[in-house]
Amino acid sequence: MTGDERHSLPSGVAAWAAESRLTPREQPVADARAAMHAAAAAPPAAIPGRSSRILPALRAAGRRHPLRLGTATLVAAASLLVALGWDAPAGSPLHEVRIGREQVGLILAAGDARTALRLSYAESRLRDAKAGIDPQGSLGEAAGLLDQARAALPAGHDGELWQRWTGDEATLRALRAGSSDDGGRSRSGDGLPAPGGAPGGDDRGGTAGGGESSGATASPGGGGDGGHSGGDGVSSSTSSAASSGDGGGSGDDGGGRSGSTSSSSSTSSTDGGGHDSSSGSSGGSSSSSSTTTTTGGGSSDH
Amino acid sequence: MTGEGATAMTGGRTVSAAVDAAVAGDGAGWDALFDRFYPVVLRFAMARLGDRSAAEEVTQEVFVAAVASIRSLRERREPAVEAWFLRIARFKIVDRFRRGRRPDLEVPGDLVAADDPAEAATLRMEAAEVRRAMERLTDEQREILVRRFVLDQSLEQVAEATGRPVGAVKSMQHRALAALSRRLGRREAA
Repeated sequence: MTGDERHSLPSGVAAWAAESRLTPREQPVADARAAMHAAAAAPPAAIPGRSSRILPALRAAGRRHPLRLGTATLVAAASLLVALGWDAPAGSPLHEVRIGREQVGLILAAGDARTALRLSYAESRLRDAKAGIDPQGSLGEAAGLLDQARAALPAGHDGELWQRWTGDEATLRALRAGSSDDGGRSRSGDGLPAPGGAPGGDDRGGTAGGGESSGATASPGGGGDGGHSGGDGVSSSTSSAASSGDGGGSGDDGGGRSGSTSSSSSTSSTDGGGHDSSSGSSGGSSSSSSTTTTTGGGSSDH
Repeated sequence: MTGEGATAMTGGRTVSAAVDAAVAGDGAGWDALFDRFYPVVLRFAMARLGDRSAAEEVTQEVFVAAVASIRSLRERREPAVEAWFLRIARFKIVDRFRRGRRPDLEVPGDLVAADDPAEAATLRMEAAEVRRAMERLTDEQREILVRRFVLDQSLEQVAEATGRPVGAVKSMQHRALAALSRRLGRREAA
């Protein structure tokens, strides 16, 4: 900077420049040097700036746009929750998220698509149960879903959805049979159709076997068979399928009405196999009681 | 870079060697950088803040922050290292303004001790006026004025430090001073 240049400076600039040309003071210099050395000796995380820069940046963003940051945080948290709970199995804390997600899917779907969706949800529950993830809860939910799907199945008893439903029912029954604690709640003893057979009624085993069968006490073998396992059910329902006109001896109301195969199957053929009393769970062993239970079976038709 | 060239020695080291040593965790490297750049950063901060204590605080923060980020320093020649320190100082000063920490209102000791306190006070007020007017300039214009009039750097040194041709620096300085004059004139007229 030449003398001419200084002379032409705006008023005050020289004063500002002179004031700014400080001579360092001893104590602040010593303090600054000590702080610098302390920072250099500190572990990386303890030095400001070496630690994550994301948090300070977020804090700054929060100060500038609190509403946007709040909304973004909420959206991120909700997304994380949905992602974590997307397929959360029964019994897990986020299972409600999965149920909610499935409900949305069911609301959006219609007709056969909705039924197919229910079946796929049921199948995923069956897979969970097979994998040992809360088998009781998963099977319970699968049963509920299959019930709902059954109610929406077309009357023809054929087609892909029926096949799927039948297969899922069989899987459910097999899994329940394999479950050690299914006891009286087992669906397998309620005379549901065997795998590959036509679907049966929609009154589910556990309750049917124990509860409704009480009204069918006339069945000598039936009451006792209320909790029968799948083995009996399979064999008996096979025979029942053979005897029913629609290829599907339907099997509701369980063991209480077991043995009423011939008389009830004709009923089931008229209503699509839906609510007829059925046969079979106790199979051959109940054949001797069929006469007695025919009355019971008829009375129990819905 | 006040006076020295790019090969200036700091405590027997070149700036580049001092940076290398500091990156390696050698305290002597930090000392060399501190001795070389503390006065520069202090003056730079004072030119913006106008308060000695605040300038000293900011300068200390600059060197602590430098420890954290020296590994990111690629160019290790003296002008680049000085520009890096001043860049950190600029961030710290802006941060200080943002937090609303204004200079203390205490009467400085040097003002009381001046031969003519009234004249010293007048100069101080003029300097404060210039600082306020400078806040309206662009960052580039401010930097050039501080380098030229506070750090006493030549046009060539400023050109090298800022990566601009000498002619461009000269032209920017001219425009900055013109803008400053206009703003100061407006204040005086008001």
